[in-house]
Amino acid sequence: MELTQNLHDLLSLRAELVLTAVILLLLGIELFSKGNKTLLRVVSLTGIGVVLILLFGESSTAQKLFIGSNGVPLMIIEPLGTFAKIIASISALFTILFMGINREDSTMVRREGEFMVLLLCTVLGVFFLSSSYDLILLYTGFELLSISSYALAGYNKRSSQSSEASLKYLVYGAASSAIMIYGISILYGLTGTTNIFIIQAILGSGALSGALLLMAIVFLLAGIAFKISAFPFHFWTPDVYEGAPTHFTAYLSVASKIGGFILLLRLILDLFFRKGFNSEILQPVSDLPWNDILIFISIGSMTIGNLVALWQKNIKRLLAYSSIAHAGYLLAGIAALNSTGLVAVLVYFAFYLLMNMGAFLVVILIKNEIHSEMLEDYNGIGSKLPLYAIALSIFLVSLTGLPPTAGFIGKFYILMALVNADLVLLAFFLFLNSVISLYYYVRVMKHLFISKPEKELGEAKQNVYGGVLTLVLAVPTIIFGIFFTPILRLAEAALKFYLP
Amino acid sequence: MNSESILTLLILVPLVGALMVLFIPKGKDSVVRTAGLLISLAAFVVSLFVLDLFDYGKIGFKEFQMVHTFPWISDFNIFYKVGIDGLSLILVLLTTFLTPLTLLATWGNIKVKVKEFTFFMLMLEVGMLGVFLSLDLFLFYIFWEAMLIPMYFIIGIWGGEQRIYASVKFFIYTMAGSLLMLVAIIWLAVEGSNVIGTFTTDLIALYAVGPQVGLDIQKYLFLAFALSFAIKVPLFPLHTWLPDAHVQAPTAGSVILAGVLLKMGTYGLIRFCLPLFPQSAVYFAPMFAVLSVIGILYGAFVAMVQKDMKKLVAYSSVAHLGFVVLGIFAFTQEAMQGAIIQMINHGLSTGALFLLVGFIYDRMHTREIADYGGIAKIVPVYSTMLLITSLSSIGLPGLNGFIGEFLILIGTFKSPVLNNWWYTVFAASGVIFAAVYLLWMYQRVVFGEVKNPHVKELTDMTGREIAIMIPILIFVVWIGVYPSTFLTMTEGF
Repeated sequence: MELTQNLHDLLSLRAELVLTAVILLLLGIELFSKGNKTLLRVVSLTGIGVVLILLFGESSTAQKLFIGSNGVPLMIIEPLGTFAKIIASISALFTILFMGINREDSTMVRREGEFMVLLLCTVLGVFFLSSSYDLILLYTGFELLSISSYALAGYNKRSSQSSEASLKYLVYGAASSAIMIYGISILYGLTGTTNIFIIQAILGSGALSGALLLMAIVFLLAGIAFKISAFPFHFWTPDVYEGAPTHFTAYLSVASKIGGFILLLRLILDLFFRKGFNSEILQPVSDLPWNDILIFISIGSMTIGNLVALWQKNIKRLLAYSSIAHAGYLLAGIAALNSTGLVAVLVYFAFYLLMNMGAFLVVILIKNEIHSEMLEDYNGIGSKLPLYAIALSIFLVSLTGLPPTAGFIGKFYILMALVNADLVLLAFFLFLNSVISLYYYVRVMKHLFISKPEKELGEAKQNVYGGVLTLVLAVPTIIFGIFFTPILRLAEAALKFYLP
Repeated sequence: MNSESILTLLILVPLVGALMVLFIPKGKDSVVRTAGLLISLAAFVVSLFVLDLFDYGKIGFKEFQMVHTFPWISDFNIFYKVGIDGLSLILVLLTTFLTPLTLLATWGNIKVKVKEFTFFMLMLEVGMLGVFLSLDLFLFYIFWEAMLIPMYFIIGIWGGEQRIYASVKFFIYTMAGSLLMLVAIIWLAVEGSNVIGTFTTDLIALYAVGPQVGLDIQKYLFLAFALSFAIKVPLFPLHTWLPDAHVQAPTAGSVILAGVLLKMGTYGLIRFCLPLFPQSAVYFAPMFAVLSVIGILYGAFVAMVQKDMKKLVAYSSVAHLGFVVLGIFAFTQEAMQGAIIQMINHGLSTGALFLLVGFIYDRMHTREIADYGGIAKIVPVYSTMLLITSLSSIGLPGLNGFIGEFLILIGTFKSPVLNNWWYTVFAASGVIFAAVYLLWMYQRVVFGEVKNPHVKELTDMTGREIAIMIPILIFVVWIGVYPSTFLTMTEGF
């Protein structure tokens, strides 16, 4: 009986099963057809397409799976997790599309299959992170995401920078996962279970409190902070972002972040906080300084990210620091601990996908033409490659959070959540940081349009495929700045089991 | 014409026009120039229709006409809402009037990337019109910010040698202020949801909310708004971006910057700061009055020692805008009307001065006062125009500047809020200093011996340049002789 039930539950994980099948298929193609490029691309893109259709299909339903003898499920398919899966799948889709145009390393074309397999493994990791309600299973998903990412960061075989990035990522990653699993083990030691619901019940009974619990939480947060590149676990970010192949950097900046954020949201919504809102604000199950911790990480991330970004000369490093700052903005939305804040985080994330992916896409396109990612070499791009330059400006303006772009709406929402939660100080920090960030984003535009080039740009020209892809990301960035209700509805639907 | 949607049409004309300009093929600079001029003239014509539809019977504070509204983000009661009153009307007319003239003025000196330039100028007009017409704080904020980017590029791409420094400084200064305002807008709307039950950024609804916010919070909100506007004005000591931006910007940029952009700061003070936070405004009035008087004197003294004509005019702006802010914070009918009329005066006189400096710079490629001298006989028409404009800027009775300054000084003297006649004494001395620096500059440039051989080769103003100046000078005299035409628009503030 139980066996058939489990089998039935397993078949309910349709998106995960399709994804696994695609991974295996790609491995097979890679082995037996000597890496037929077209076939690989068709299979991977169609695979992700099917997965996305399945995800959108189940995006408003909830289903408990693998219910154990104690009556609690191991996994739940529910809209919030599905939202994260959709974000990860879309970024994987774009990453594969970007890979086709990236000419950083000529050997990459021959090894596209490997890349796709590893990439889809990270997506699978995010999928498990999104649906699991057991700390061990969550950790497995987390590691699947991490380990594949280490390999992918070093994908530019010929570049020593890429290998260095990979190793650095591995060392930092291993250390923070170790801390995280230590946190999990403390939690297990305290409660005797790894199931989130049971732990929540035990915590809710008030039987536990004190230093050990705080330590477990802090350790868990260490792992998450590493994944979302938040202060003080952000040190790997600039080196890895710079060294990794740019299309993977784009992926890392979005999908890896959503992985960390979904884990954080899961822990907050289902483990450490009471169900539902008490006068609009979430209440922790045991008396711990959640607000202070989250505010501390948030302010730290945005301030460090923005201040250090001021001095960057390499666009990828600049975007890396900007992504640290954005982790801070997103955390500010969570720190509000109210319903507006949760919606704000998801809305912001959807926009962040567009603008960050877009910015890295243009970095790839420009690098293809001028073979450089240094800002000083960007001088005069505006007149040589106008479409790329304008698109990059749109993405940067959006990252700054200026109207009329999507980023402004995201920031507006987060600010609103903060003011609603009476966190005026944090709102003020967000304002200060936006001002600082202005400077370096504007500096990029200055190089693109205003500074005169020192040397001739030569044969640089725009290509149609790159142009279309840029527009696909840039046009919505503008449109969502004016009309964003669909994204808002999507975010609200994703939280429908949590919002009051 | 339908009075409901005419204001939307007014915003759409330059917006659609700007987008159309982008599609003109490369290399057709004269087509682009003509198109830009025609589009901005079309906007001017629409604004004349607005003037025609304007009902003088319904003038008064918080009385808006031709309101066009539809819900935008219904979850938060954010509206697309535009409307007009006397204050907006007079500034909208100033904007639509100056834009074609400045576009015409660029025909001589903008030779590269004409298409982009025209595009940015038209987008700038969209932003300015939107700012003056918005009746929703969210919408207002979007226009307010959207206007920064074109200005950044206008200074940065077509500016002088230090353009990069100037454009970045301009951008950071104004953005810092406006982001703080964003926080305050949200805060005010959240406070509003406690008072009226729903979150909204509708200005008219918030007019009822602001005064009810406790003074402790209201002070912060007021300061956040006021800081943003004070940077734009610019009020001493936040003025340091202005000389850089003015001097480095191309002539058209300077004219629009002085003519309209600075007015957005004073407009914001009148439209938002005073009615939304009346108690705090009274509380802080002495502080703002002191700062504006300092600005008047400081601007005048610094202008006196400038060697560069454009810098001189730029610092004179700091002094003139000081008058406007003083008038606003005097809280009397005369001073407020004087402030509004002075906004227009400054737009016309300083705009004209920048144009004239630009014309001569196009010929000589220098703005140093010392490089000129004795041009009166060589370029008589130019010299006459410069004289009239300088006198108008000084505030000679019979020309526009006098009316504004006179009203402000009377109003400040009578002001119960400031209640101290020293403000008037110091501000009035600013008028004298203005005469000193402008006439002194005029004397050094126009009279005396010809020292620089290049001056002899100067040619007088062309027909195009005269055509630009004449309309401005007509208004300069009109306001000076018969100001009622304009004062009636702003009664009841």
